[in-house]
Amino acid sequence: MKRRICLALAAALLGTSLAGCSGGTSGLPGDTTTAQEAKSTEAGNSSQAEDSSESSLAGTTIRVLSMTGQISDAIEAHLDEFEEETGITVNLELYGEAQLREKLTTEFLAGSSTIDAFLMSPLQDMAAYSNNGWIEPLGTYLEDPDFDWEDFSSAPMDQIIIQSTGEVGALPLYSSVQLMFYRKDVFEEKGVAVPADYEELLEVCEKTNDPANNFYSIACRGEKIALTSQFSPFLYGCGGAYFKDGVCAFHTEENIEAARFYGKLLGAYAPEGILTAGYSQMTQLFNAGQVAMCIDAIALYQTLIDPNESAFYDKVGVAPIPEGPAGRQSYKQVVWGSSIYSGSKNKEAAWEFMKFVAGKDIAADITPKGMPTFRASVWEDERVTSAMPEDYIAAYNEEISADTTNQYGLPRMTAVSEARDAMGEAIVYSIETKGEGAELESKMQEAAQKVDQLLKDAGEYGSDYPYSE
Amino acid sequence: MAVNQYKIRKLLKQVLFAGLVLIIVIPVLFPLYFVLISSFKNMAQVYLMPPKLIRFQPILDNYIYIFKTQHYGTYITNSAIVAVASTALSLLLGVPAAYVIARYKMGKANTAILTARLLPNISILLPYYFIFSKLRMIDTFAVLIISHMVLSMPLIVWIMTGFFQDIPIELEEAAIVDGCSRQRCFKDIILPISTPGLVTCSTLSFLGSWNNFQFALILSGEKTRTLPVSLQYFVSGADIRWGRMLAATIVVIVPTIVLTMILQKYIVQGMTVGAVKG
Amino acid sequence: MKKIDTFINKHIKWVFSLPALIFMLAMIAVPITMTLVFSLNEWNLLMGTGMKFNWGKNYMDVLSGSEFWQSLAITVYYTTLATVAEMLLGIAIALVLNQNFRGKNVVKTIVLLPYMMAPIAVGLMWMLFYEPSSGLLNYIFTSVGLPRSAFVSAKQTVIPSIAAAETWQMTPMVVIVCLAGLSSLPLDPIEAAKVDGATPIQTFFQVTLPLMTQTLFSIGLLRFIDVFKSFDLIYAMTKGGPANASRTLNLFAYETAFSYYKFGTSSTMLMILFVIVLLLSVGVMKIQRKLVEYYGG
Repeated sequence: MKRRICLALAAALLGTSLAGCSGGTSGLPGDTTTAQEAKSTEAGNSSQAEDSSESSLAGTTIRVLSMTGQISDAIEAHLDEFEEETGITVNLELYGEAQLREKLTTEFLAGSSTIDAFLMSPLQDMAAYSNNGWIEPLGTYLEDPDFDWEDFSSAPMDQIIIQSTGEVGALPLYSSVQLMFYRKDVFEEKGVAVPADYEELLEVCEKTNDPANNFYSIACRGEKIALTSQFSPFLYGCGGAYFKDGVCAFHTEENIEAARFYGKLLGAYAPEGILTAGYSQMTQLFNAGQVAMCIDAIALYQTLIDPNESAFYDKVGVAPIPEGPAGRQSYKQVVWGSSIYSGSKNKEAAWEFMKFVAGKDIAADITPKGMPTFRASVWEDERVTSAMPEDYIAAYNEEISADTTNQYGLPRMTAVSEARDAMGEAIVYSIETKGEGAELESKMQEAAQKVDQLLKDAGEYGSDYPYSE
Repeated sequence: MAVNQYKIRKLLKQVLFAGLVLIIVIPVLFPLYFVLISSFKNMAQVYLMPPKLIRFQPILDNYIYIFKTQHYGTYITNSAIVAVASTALSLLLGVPAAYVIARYKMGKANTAILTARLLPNISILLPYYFIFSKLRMIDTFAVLIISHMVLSMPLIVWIMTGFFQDIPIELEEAAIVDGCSRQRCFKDIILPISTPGLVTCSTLSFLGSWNNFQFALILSGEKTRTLPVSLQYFVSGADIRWGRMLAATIVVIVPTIVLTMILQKYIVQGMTVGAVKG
Repeated sequence: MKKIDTFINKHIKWVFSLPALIFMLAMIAVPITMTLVFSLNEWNLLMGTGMKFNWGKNYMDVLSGSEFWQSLAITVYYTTLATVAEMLLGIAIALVLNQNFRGKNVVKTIVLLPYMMAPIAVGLMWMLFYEPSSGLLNYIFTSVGLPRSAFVSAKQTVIPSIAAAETWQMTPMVVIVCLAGLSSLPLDPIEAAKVDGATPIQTFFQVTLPLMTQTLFSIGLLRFIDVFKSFDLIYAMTKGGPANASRTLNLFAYETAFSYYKFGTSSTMLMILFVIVLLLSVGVMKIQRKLVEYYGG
């Protein structure tokens, strides 16, 4: 039995070449033609003149898995144009984030997947997918003259390369930084100004907090795993860091100070349910008129200013996050990337789709909706400049230009989810005790030990730590 | 006087009983009513407390959206095919098995069948995907029906065994003495008495299959996508589109009610008419 | 034709049970074997090294970790709470609905409604109600003078809150099985008890309940098993939070596989979960047999 499974796995790792002419399970008309094309497909081919690739790919059907959400809305909106231009039919399947991961992993593991291209979260999935050989290296594809890879120069390469080879494995679709959203009307009524640093932040909180009327000053993520990334600007803002010399530094003085501050902020000035609040609860709290401020990912903005979602849509102000003793430290993440499955039989068509997904039209569509593109050219596009409010552009530019040591927002390591879990637990304790918990130090020590162990298990401890800090 | 008192007591009893029924019905209906009206609201209105339960301006955007972007007709058909077929096949295999398990006290066989229900879904899913993808059966109705049968059959066998055990054995013994074969006896005597049990099991099995999410997520594809898989379209890690999600929930429930009723009627009619209660 | 009839009559035991048995055994042998094999291997997708047999080290690691036991305790707490609530409510509602009254069928359909919803939808719906600051339930609580509750947001209340949602959705299953059981009960003993002057409560405990033992055990065990390994509802509501307070074994195993990518360890947890449910079920069935004997079957 074991051998059989190992064989199945081996087949999975080798890609689906064993399956040979299998058109897969989709049984779609395009499959027969594409099987032949796949043989002759060389990455370089796609770099030929546009019309030749057009004719050879017309009639191809590709299967793309993506996640429900704003980026897919834009993909869907422009998909017809793409299909018309290239003659490629795209079967776009959308899933929730966890379901997408479950589906991708299961299909890739079995080795008989008919997926051609997929979206993923590089920070979360790149290591697992690339270490198993599921991701097609994009090296030669990027030379496609049809594609202006230089436009993406602001993208943090570390997040999108395949660790073992250093080749790019995913096209970065949009970035995330953190912004502070606030209620202009409340600030005006209470006569407070936008806080620029931590001290001012606490002062504003003190003035706006009104629990008796079920109104609170601030909302930030308090859910154990979700909070890590939202906590990171405070951690780095206090001069801390997740790692030092390849060892977890979570229990050092600066970090404990940051944890106390975050604990006090949320423990004293956030609504009751904050410990289960992740991203979507931020929307809920802000739109329900429960909080005066909210610090979270930039993507939140679109929902906050949607008249269908919020009664306060016209009262939303945007500002850069407050500066800590060690500066303004918002992370810069590649939120979603798109990749080609290494076992795809339609790689050329999949690449066409990749170019489309990372293309200017979609970038110009998503950027004003809180999904800022890495494409430098699009920021000067009229579609972007005309659609976005001034304070938003100012705040974003302030942060994207700020020099930060907090590149990822998350601890960079293989077992990132487990590490978030361990660290999050200590922060949750700090929130529960309003930042005054006596055991905070020991809890953070404990978390650091856990993280160190995880690093050791993965062979990433100390001098073996593979990432730049 | 005595008659009056009797009448009053009877009336009081009726009122009390009506109260009881209300206590049962309201906790069920109110949340559903809330979902129903929320599906006609935008999010700003849903968050508004106290909620506007009546007389609000209904918006149809959510329904328009889900019918425009999603092929609900196809999904309903797909779900119905899988649910009806898996229920029918499970009944066909499961009910006779339950009967002999009950009559011959085959405890071990019962446990063996129940085992399928004990297995956590994830530990079934990965192996099934491995095997059925090798057999090129992913995204076919067959694989969905088979996988749902694995969940339905234990349910049916387990519940029906309980029912058959409660049927006094004397009923059949008389018939068998009269020269009736065991299978005739099963068909003509046992099944008709068991109608309530059969209706119950098939309803449960049908709904279990209709709402099954994880199996359908992994084993279905574009062609065989079922309703629950399409439902999570509105829920992603980053944001939940409540209005659309709730509208989709309503769209999923309505055919369920209709199909459950049809199914029940069909099964009751399928049984011999005029069965005498034991 | 006659021959076949005679054959079936003679071997009815196997003719009736074998098709079902063979199908089920085939369909469960494969997953169990594969999960067992996975569980005996170091298999971490993040490493990309494939499977490595490791002599049951996974079992040692899982069983010696405090997280597993914490998770097991949560599972047991949740299961007990939800199963007991569902059974008690289910029986009570079934007794009420077993009376003859106008609109009975409508009420029966209404009661079944929650069971018709997909668990994800139920979970999300309840999250909307439970929302601590702007949710419906806290609004109702404060309107009638009760203190606000954090519901799924606090460690202490999260399990009862999810169990309440589970009960809301799954009690109908108990109700309709009990109703079917009640309606196929022989009427004579109940009539006899009435004639003897027994109160309805006496009749219920002394006549109806013993007659229902089989049905109640069947549905009770089924509910217990399903709740023990339930996934969708908790996943939709809290994903195991806050701070792992609602992370049941099944969720833990899912998380281990699909967020930590440790399929070996995850399979180990699933195997242990499976064995626990199996042992408990067999235990319950033993008790059932004893009870049935006690009541004279």
